[in-house]
Amino acid sequence: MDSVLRAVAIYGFLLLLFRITGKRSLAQITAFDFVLLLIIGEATQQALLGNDFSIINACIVIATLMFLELVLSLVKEWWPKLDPILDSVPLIIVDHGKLLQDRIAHERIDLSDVLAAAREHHGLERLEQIKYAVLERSGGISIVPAEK
Amino acid sequence: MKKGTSNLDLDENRDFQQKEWHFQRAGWCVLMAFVVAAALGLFGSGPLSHARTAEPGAPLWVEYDRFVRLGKTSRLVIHVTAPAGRLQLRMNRTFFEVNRIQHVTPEPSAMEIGAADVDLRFDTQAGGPFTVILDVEPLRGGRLPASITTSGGATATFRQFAYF
Repeated sequence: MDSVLRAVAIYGFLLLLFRITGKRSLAQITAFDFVLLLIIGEATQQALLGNDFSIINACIVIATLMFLELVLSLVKEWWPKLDPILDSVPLIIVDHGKLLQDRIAHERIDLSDVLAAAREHHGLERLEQIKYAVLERSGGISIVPAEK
Repeated sequence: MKKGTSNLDLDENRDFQQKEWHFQRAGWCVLMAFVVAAALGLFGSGPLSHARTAEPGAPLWVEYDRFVRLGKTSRLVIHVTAPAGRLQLRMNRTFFEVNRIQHVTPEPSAMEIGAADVDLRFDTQAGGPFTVILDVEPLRGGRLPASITTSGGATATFRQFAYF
């Protein structure tokens, strides 16, 4: 019982924490973000397993996490209103070469992040070459290039 | 699902997005309060947690943590003015049921478990200030009551809270 409760508590806490810190919180922009993710994983592991290193405990914890994931995906299907609450919504941040300042300020993104995504995926050089940039629910920025 | 002004087929939801930003701002405040409270010791080990039952110099005073954690060792320091020869400390039995005693320093010369109390006896040579250190680990969460009485009649009662 203990292991199941631990897994549920940690799952809930992480879900809430990542919703509070926003879509970009761990989008792995820098190498340090990756390191931070590892450290969080390490700290979480301790809390999930306690000092019980048996295989059955690991199985219980993993099964509980997978089950929660499954339940949430089913619930989202039955009740679509819950989808944005759990997973947020996508957001247009560049509209026909124009950076939407108020939106990117709220999401703590700047021009360089948008341009980096444009370079990376489409080899674009300037903001005007972007038709749309969308901050996806995953925290990534997707780019639709302007028609030539 | 198109709700934005663009011709992009995207289920953008400005109302929800606005609400989400408000929620996040409020969440940041909660997060900050949580971290500050943790740093101050609201969840164990820190100035808010460290406490004592009486001023130093009293015939019996105990240093303890108000907030402890399940499965994590914390320390009780019992300061007592001991008579020459032998000192007896009587503690409530519940304390021993909800905590695992890791170490008692110095080692008691005898320990007697009664219906409601546990007596710890120590050999004191000359008498005077005497310190007993208990390293204990809570076995359950919630409130943990503790009371200590010396053979001289001085009593210290306190309560700890163990986080899950």
